[in-house]
Amino acid sequence: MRRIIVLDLINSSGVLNRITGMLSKRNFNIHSITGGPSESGTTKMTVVVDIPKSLGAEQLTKQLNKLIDVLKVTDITEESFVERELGMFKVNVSRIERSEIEAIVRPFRARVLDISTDSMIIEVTGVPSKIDAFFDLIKPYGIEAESRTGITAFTRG
Amino acid sequence: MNSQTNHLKTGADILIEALVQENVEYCFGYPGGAVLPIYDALYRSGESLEHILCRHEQGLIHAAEGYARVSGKAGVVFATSGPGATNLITGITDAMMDSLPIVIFTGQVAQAVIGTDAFQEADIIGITTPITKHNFQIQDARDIKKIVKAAFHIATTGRKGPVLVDIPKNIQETIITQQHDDKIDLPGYQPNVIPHMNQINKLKEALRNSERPVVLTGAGLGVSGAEKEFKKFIDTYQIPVVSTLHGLGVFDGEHELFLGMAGMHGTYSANLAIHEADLLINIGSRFDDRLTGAIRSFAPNAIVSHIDIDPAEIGKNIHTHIPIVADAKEALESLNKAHIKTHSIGAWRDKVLALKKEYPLWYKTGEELISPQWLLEQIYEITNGDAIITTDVGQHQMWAAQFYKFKKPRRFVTSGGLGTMGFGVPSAIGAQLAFKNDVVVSINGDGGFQMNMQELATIKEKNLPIKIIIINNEALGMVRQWQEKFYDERYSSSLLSANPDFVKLAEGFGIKGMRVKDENKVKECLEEAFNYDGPVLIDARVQKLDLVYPMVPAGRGNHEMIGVKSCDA
Repeated sequence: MRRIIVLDLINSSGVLNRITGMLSKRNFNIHSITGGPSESGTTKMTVVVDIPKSLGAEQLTKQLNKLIDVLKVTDITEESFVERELGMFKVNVSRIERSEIEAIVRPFRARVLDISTDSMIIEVTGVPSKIDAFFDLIKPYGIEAESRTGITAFTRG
Repeated sequence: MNSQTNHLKTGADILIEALVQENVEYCFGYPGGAVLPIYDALYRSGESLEHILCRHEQGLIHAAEGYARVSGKAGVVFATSGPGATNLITGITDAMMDSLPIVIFTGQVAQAVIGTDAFQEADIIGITTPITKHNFQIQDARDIKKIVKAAFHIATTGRKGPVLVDIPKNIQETIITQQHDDKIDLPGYQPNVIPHMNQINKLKEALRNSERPVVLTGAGLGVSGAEKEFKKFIDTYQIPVVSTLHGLGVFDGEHELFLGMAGMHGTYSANLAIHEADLLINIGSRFDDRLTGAIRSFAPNAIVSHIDIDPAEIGKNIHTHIPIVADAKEALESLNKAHIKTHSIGAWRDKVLALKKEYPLWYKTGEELISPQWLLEQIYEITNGDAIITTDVGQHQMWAAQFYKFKKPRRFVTSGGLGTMGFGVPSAIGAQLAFKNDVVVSINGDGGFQMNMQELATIKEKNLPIKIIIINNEALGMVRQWQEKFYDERYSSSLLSANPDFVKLAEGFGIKGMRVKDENKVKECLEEAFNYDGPVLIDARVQKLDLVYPMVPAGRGNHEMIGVKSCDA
């Protein structure tokens, strides 16, 4: 069971360790984690977690709430929300294949960041399934490197 | 020393001042390189703070736990960096599992060398993050008072627990000319103690409709100091009471309605009552697996109401119908306000009380050596049930829980959640210091005693009149019991054939040592020990093959206990 949790935190030293440590102690598997400063001077973190069925989502939010540096925990999985992830790919592309790649890049509104003689670096932003779809299309050319940020999310309205 | 240096205060001086402000009576500690400034400040302070030098860091943290458990106040610990701090780990985890308020101060190498693998450096913040309620490393000497205040606040409020404060040596040495405001600012920590009235009303409704209610007393009930409110509640509704290991004593163990401890080595009547109940009111227990047995068959017919100060405990192990997040005392006061017209539960009460009578705890006497269960009863009698009992972990611990019928809360000092061997002797030190005029009995197995026996030196030094009793069966009895029952009697590394002479050992520490092997001599031995003004160690030779009964085999339901005997049989 995958849950998307948005956390508001005091940016104290070791706070990331407290969160990841609690999750691993309680057998929650982190799928992705992103974070950075927020509008109120606190740190906002978006954590995507795989939860064993036996534990349930409520245990996850309750345990996070117990951490002293955690100000607010919101499980937005069932809410209406907007999510974005950024993926970067270094693809093996010969000169003659470049135009083929560009034909894939355009409909995905991806961007070419760098071109060298036998490779390209491409950036694509969107929901994780869009990045998965893009990856599937460019995979046959040979992926030299892949990096994904994990999602960050807001509820709507 | 010139007059000017007299007025200059260091970070270490400020720390001692902050502890005095928190009304700390004792600190349990062990000096070392990275805490030398703190020990120097302690030496110079002339404050009322008394330092207890244990002989190993594990001993000192268990002593602090014993102090915290019986007094309800924070136990304070000092240890040096590196090995001093890492030797505390088992005790910190123990305090976390049993929700004991402990504030630990560890020295750290100077800030300039943190991260360089300096001599006696250990990442104690990283190591203790999963095993503390919270931890701090002081980065700015002006924050010392503020952080100490926050540490005590976090340790002693809400669900209590250990808090560690790591202090780099240069911070301890910094001359303090100004300090930051010490106002506690913890926006992410707001424990809820007042129950939600809707939930209380739901519980009242459930009580009104219940025909077979049972109340389970947990540690939280004792911690909240709600024994009077609880007694009033039971007096009003006459509901049968069962307990967890740590709930023992919250309700009088001799009371007619008390069925005993439930769970793996609980009484048959307590387990059956939970199994057949239609309403289970859990006050301050976390539904530990040693209590519940197989979850699928725990309280299968009951509406479960769970009162707990920690919301994360509710619904963690057992599906809960009526969750009440509150301090137990507040919740009971709310419940006691209204009179609820209940069903007549007389038939149910008669049934469980008949079970209590028919299936009592049992044991055999009159064999070659002393019956350990009978010995516990003798200790109960000679102390009039008023002693503070500390135990180690294993068979003797369960026998103490079964046969010492605690009348008052916070008198049973035992490692419940973590099950830490080596707990029995040092925890008695803290308990005796907290209640200097009370009788403290430390009950140990011959195995666990040897894990922290160096603390005899501390007991001697402080001349604490603790009565240490070794229930000596020349084995790691509980391990041996499981090997006998579930591993075809393959006693792998569980027989202790080369124990020291415990009497001589005690005498080596300057403590009176006694040995007793014969049931006929027990009374005389105990009288001598309990009349003696000072510490005594008794090596009591007990039946080697006795088992803790009844028991719920691992993975089974509590109604499937083995070793249950009818008194008619």
